[in-house]
Amino acid sequence: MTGRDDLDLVRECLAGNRPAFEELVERYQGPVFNVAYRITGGRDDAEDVAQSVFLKAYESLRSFDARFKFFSWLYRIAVNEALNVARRRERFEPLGDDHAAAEAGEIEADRDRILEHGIAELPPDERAVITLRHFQGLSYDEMAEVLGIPANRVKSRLYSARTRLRGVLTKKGLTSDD
Amino acid sequence: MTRDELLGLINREIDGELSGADRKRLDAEIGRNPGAAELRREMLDLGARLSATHPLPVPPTLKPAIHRAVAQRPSPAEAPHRGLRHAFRTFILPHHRSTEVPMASPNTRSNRPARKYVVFGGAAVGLAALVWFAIYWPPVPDDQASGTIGSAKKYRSEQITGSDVQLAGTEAEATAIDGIAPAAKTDLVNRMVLQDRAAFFARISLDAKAMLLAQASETERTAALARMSPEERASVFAALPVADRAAIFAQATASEAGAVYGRLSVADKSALAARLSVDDKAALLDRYVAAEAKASVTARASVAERAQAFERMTAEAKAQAFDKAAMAERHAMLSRMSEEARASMFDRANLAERVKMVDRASVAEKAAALDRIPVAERSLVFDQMTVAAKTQALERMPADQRAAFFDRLPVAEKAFLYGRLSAEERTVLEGRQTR
Repeated sequence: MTGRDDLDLVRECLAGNRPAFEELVERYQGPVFNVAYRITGGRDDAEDVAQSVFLKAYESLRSFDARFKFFSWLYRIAVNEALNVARRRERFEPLGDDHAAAEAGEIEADRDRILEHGIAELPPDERAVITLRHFQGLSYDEMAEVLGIPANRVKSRLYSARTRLRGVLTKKGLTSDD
Repeated sequence: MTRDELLGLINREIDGELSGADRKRLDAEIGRNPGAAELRREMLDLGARLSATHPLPVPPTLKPAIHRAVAQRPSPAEAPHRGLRHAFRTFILPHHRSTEVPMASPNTRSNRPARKYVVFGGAAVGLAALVWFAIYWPPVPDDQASGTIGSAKKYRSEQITGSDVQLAGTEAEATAIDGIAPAAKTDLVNRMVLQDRAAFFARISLDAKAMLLAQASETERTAALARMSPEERASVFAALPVADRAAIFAQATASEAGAVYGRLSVADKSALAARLSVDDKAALLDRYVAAEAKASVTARASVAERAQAFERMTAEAKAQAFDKAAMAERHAMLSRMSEEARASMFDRANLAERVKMVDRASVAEKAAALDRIPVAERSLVFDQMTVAAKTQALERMPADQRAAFFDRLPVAEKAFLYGRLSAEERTVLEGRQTR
């Protein structure tokens, strides 16, 4: 990482330097948006979540414990915020026929989209571990820090998520059934 | 080897954590079991594909939106610790997953350790109180003289009144919030952070929601609306005065306005539309600040919805929306526009689009469209029209133009069209052919 590290920027921000926070936004808007997108499954939701995450981070910066990594703290807010949205969304707006029809049309067209749809069918907690591991490249320990659960539970959740995802993709015809 | 054991080994292989001994076990199983080999291949393929997925580009509107929202907040250097309010929200508000908990140790077994301690602590205090009351209650008077009458006094408390009844949880919050005066309500909500407001929004009446929504910042409005069910959103919108409804969209950025509108289901949009008068709808659309916002909103709507929204836009907004629309949508938009506006949109289209537009247009529109474009381009457009369209277009053209276009037709089309011409027209054309 070039220039000031995250902790320096946090300290500057706490000292009243607002542009320091803008640099943190610049640095992490991509990962936060992508984490939110993978968990909520929607660009609009992801944008709202990302905005809310940075706002919360800004308002709660004083509660950040400098013994931990800033990105872990930020990811933790992002994951929790995205999970809240995903769960609410699933409660109010279960996938209807329109979605299924659109999905059926896309199956032949784009395997990546099927993967995306497959991930969207996982429970939100499993979407979170897949996202952190595969899309953000976090280690088990970092994931444990973000999710606030022990590393061995992270592993078992990740294994379940992958296995379930394979099952979902098999149903969609992306992999052959065994 | 069980399937779970096999999956465990394969998952460890995906993560690069397979030990030498485990590798031997996995290889042996794969050698014995063709199904295991297939499962391994699929899982490795899945892991590779997941890790190869490209990140999505960040929407360009995100950073400015964050900066705007942050600029409205006091600096963390000035912000007080939330103390009791944070504790209230974390421990009292139900169904709220706190996103602001201080970073916990990775080894923590629960992500809500503080709450767990409060529960256990509360239970311990309760148990101690129970033991104390069981042993020492009722207290024995010093003079030991109260007897039966004295003991009976204990039960002569005053009648329970409404103020003695304490509701708990959601019901209490809703009652409490809805019961206070609007000014106090506003003040209370103004003191909350975004997440608090959202939580309260979920619990208060529709009228209170509408009142608070009208006073909220754009970020808060968007967040609050996003958290509502479709029915609530439609109802809250309907409960707002027209000016406030318009203001919600007027203050929204293009992305926010689009996000709010885009989230509405078809039923929700219909419900919202059904509750708005024609004037309301007009006011709502007319007060969108930027044409860009309108374009963004319309880009998220169905073809019919876009066309309907299109009717209310300014020329500039129409142009922007038109630029973003797909061909089918352009046709729907064009069909709702005035002759003049349609001509203006036609001017903005490229050649291929014009051809398609002309192809879809009515006879009068085709003639009008052809009139608006340069002669050279007109011929190209004409060439790409269907025979039936050409026939209609030729029928509407002045005789001199018709002859020029007739010359461009293939022999078969000429023969077909010739049969449709009047005697006078044939004479004109024959005269041209023989010249």
